[in-house]
Amino acid sequence: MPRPQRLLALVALGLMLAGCVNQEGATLTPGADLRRLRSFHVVKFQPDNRGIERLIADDLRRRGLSATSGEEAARPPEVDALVTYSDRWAWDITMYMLSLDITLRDARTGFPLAVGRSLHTSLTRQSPTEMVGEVIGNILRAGAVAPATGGNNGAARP
Amino acid sequence: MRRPAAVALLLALAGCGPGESRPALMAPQGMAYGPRHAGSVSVTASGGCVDCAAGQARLSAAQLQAAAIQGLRDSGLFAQVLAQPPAGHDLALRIFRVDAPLFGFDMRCTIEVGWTLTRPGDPTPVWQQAIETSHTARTSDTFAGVERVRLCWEGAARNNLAEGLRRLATLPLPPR
Repeated sequence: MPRPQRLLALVALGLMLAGCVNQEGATLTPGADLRRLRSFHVVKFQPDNRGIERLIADDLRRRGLSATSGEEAARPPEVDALVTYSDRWAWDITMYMLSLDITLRDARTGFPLAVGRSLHTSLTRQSPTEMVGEVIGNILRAGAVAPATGGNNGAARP
Repeated sequence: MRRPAAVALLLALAGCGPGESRPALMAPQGMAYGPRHAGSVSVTASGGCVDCAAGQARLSAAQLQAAAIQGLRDSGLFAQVLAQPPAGHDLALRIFRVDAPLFGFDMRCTIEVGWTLTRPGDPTPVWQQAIETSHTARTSDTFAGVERVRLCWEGAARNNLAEGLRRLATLPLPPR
């Protein structure tokens, strides 16, 4: 194989190994009813220094829900649910958000009520605001679709 | 010389496309509690994936269930461990989240599993907790990235089952 083709094959292998993923979805814990939730506190993910907790709270407020953000200790006393998240970033020419996991938790017990995840590799990268909107939208859709019984699939889409 | 090295580096770093999880490697070892709870328990599991997307931890509910049953039987915590209800207590495991890297030398995975213990006919949990555990697989464990990432989430699952058994062992459960 001529040298440029070999190089291209190697690059393609690298892209295949590193960039072969694109997922989004959400699942509801059986028995969880998200429709009763009106107020949320987004708990800052300690390693996050990009303010993703504020983007999540903004997205919830745009949907007509009440949301605050910050440390867990700063949560309002009468909040319905806690929101936790973890974000992962990767570099390809510029830094981009590779994945975002968001969990809605019972404010009293901390037990998860629903989880959502989006992962976009470089070629289908989205802005953090779009990623947040995608995950929250999928979680709320899963809650609206199957409020009482939940299920493994919910609004999941690989 | 440089090209084979680059390919080897890619293969060593990439964790894309690993194999299925192995329940035998996820069952916690050396946790012989003896009979703490005289009754029986059934174990079910949900979540995870069967037709997993590329880059997703290939951990299914059935694999976690098999590992949990083996761990519970080895521990001797309950007099009898069943694969399906009904039993004196029903333990439902739910895989909420598995974080696994796509690339890296030392790979750290985190798993969160919901543990819910109920009695037949009563939906109110006797005990319910979400347990989050991690594990780091290193290049000294295995050089191939696809194998290292599997060791990584299997280790996180094993630690989760071990922690769950530890907490179960402390519960005051009446014999059923």
